[in-house]
Parts: sequence; structure tokens; C-alpha cells
Amino acid sequence: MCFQSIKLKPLFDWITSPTLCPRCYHKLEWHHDVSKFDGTPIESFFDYGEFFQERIHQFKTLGDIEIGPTFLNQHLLYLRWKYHRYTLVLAPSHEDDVSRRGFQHLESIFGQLKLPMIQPFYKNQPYRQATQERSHRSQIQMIMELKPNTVFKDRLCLVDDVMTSGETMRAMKSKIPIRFFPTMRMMVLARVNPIKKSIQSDLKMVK
Amino acid sequence: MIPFECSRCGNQDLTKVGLKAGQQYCRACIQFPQETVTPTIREPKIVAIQLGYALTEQQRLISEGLLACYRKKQSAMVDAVTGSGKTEIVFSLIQVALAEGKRIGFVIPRRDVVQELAPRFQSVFPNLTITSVFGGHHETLEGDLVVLTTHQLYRYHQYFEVLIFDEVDAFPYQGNAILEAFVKRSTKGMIVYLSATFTKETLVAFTNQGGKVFHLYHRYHGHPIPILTYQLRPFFLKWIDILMTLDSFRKANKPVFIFVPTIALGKVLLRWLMLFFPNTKFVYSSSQFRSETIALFKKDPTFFLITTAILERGITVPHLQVIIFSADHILFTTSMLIQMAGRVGRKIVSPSGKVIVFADRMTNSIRQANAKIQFANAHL
Repeated sequence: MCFQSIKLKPLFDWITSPTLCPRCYHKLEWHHDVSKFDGTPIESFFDYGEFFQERIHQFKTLGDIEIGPTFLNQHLLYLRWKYHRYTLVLAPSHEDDVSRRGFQHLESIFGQLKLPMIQPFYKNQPYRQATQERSHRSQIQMIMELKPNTVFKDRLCLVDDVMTSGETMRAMKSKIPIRFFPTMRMMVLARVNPIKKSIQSDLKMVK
Repeated sequence: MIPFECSRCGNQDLTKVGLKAGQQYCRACIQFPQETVTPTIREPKIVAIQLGYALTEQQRLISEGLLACYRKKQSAMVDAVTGSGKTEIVFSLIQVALAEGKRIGFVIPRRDVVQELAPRFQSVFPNLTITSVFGGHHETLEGDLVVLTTHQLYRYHQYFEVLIFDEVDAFPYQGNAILEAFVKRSTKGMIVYLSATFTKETLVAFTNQGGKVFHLYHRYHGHPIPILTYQLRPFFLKWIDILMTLDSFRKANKPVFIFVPTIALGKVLLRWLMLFFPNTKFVYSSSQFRSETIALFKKDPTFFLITTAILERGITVPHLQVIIFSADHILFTTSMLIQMAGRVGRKIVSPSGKVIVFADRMTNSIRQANAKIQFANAHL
């Protein structure tokens, strides 16, 4: 990420973060969290900090595809073992965004898990969840649609890069037809910590 | 690997090259968007310089020298001591270039200096449209004179016919190959480099490339540059000694900058000083209300201001005194120490002042900084 050589880093860092220098690894604010969202187990790996935001911007907006695989590289074996029976269900991106960027960003991040991936949803208009106000984020329910004739397997893991309000995940979950009755999990790279966020905004106001 | 050269930043380092859809792309300059300004045709503008005072003889000679370079389309380098009036020297060049309808840019690596200089240009050229462009402030990109940071130069491709580059050796420009490439890419005419702390090697290399070098060793008011006063105090003694020094400045009602090498040290020093001087403030690159604190200090300097190197250049405060804390730190280079000392005695109302250096030990940087200041003062 920072173009520094990683050849001379300590042995322990090779185990924890094989493709990142120790400095970038720590700046990314690694925070592995397993909890439940709307009754579904969800796993996240980073805090949505400033450095993470900059890197995800460089990856998604500026189209630096090389960064994609580095996010999950240190957890590959664990994730492959944990999700080996699952099919990854990718959150949808609008076609314009994908063509501008030149690649599907979630495929680039989660592709290295070598698990089956499907993208059963699409957005019927250009819409970015990140630019919406919190109260308007539930609009994603209207914008996200299920591709016709999609067949789901019995173990699904819904994946996205960042989860803030959780409306995208909620919409994906609700669009999966009830007849499939899958075992469902969720996985995101980073999750906004609502308590931390409110403390930060309070601190800003005090200052 | 296939050889690659970036058309924007000239990067050839394959470790900074990515591969997307079978195409190589440069990762070194990917942070800078591709958008560039489409130049509009500029009408010649006759403007008067409202300076309020006359240039000194040395300033006038260099100013004329720059005009001669402009006519020959030759780049120039002005090596002038701190507080000598470098900015005033280029006013005539701006005036002549505007009269010929040229596009002029004034570029500085630091955004604080851009914010400081833009109003100053506006007061000297009241009829001009001065556009300042820096991070978070880039709604308008064109004007009669564009004052901008080096990081914003990516927006201008072969745009400026006269580019004046102040504080060339300042962070973050120095040693940044991408920004160097952006400077070259943004201009299609002459470049005037200004600084008080060029190295000998830079001056020799520039002369060998066909550039013209001008020297100015006099401050405009004719007073010498303050030399560094050492206070070599090992261990905790400097932490106590600084209190006494600050107390004497407070009694004399003098504004004070306290330069620290790192943000971490600045935070510790702030906590220490606030026990005795509760009004002390600290500014650094990522601090909130940075611009507001600096503006407040310039308006009403009733508090001590701890700062990192962000305020080492381009700022003028009357009656200012400077303390350099932990001056033996490896980050403080000779040029930085000279620039910090150069904050003192810039105004004619207070042409002298104190630069007090607190350090555990003497370093080459401190020694060389003093030698250079004494060399410049010897020309008086």
C-alpha cells in the first residue's frame, strides 16, 4: 500500500500480514469482530478508520485493483476453512461504476478465497449508499432487484466491503426468496462502530 | 516485466505499476485524479503595483534580472535570505507577464503559505482576480494569478507560461518525484525558483542546466538575521529552562513560536507548558482549527504557540521570538533551522529578536545553520 519493501520485516509480521508492511497493517486498524445482525451471524475485520477509508477510496474510486487482494490476505486459511461449504453472495454495484472502475471490486477482494461466488442482484439505477443520508438509506430496497431465474444453494454468505447502517445487507437478505431456506451468514471488510462514531462526533462538537 | 513510463509522473519503477484488464497503469500518481483545466484565452491586462514602499537597490537589480530572463525564456533561481523580500522581487515580472496576457502561477508546497500569500497578492494587485487553490479549496481554478500548492499542480497540464515556485526545498515537495514531475508538466514557459536555503549542489546543477542564479544576502530593512543562541541543557534541564525563558518573554509581552520536531513531543510539551501558561496552543499538520489558531495568533498573539515545522516558512508576525525545542533532533536539518530563525525580525517595526535553541547536544545542523546565517550577515 505504501510501496515500502516488505522483504525485511520480522518473522511474526510475515505470519500476521504476509502482503502488508507492519506500518500499513497497524494503520488499517485490524479488529476482528463476530456478532449478529438482524439475527444473522456477521463477521468483520477492520474498523472503518481514516486509513481504511483512504485505501478503499484508492481501490474503488480510483481503480487501484492491486490493493484488493491485500485486505483479506492474512485471513485466507481461516476464511477458506470456515466458509468452505458456502456460496458468497456479492452485494450489487451499478454497471456504470463497474465499467468506470474496470473491475468488480468485491470479486477482487473475496475472489482469492476461491469459494463459489454469485451476484444475483442488480441496481436498477445509479445509486450510491455511501452518499445517502442515514434516513434515506432504506431506499436501497427499491433500487436493488433480484435477477430472474436465480437459484440459491443452501449455505449462503452475503458479502460487502463496508457496512454502515446495514440497509444493503438487510435488502439482500429480504430479496432472497423464502422457498430456498438457506443457512445464512454475512461478511464485511469493515463495519462502522456506531458507539465510536457517536463519541467522535460528540468530541468534534465539544472542540 | 514490460518496461513502463507514466505519461503524467514519469514513474518507471515497476513496483509501482499495476495491471488492470491486461493494461499496465501507474500506481504512484493514482491518488491524483486525471482531470485537468482547459485553458481559456487570457486578455492582456495592464495593472499597477500598489506596494506602498520602494524596493531596495538589490531587490530592484534582481527584479530587472528576472525580466531579462523572462524575455530570453530562461529559468531563474533566486537565492535570497529569509526576510529579504523575495515575493516583492517577482511583482514586476507578474506585471509584465500579465500585460502580455500570459498565464501565471505562484506555487508553494505548503497550504498555510498559500492562505497567507493570496490576500497579500490581492492587496498589491487590487484589480486582479487572485485564485487560491489548495486541498479542499478548488472550486475556481483559473484567474489572473493562480496561487496554489504543489499538490494541486496535477490539474494544470502545459498551462502556465510563467511559474514562480517559492520555498522549493520545503516538505512535502523536496524529494517527491511525482510533484517534481507535476511542476515540469504544468508549465510551458519559464520557472522562477525562490528559496533562502538552496544547497550549493542545487545552485551548481541549475547553472549547468543553463539557468540563471541570483543571490540576495540583505534583508530589506538592512538589519542582520538573528543568529541562534544555544542553550545546551541535557536531560530534564531544558524542560525547566524553557519555563524561565517563556516567562521572560511573557513579561516583555512578546509573541513566541516554539518549534518542536514531532507531534508526539509537541503534545507532551503542551501538557507541560499548560501547567504554567494555560493559554498555550499547539498546531500541527492534522490539528483541528489549525488555520483559525494561526489567524488568531497573528491577530492577537497573547498566547504561546507550539508548532511543528508547518510554520517554519512563509509566515510573518511582528515582534516574534522563536524557541526551537529539541533542536538536536534528527528531523531538524540546517535549512529548517535557518528558516525557523528567519521568522524573527522580518518587520521593520521589530527588525531584531531572539532565536533560542534548546538541545541536549550540539549537532552539525545547528553549527551549519549558524555558520550560514553569519555568512549572510557578513555581506551587510
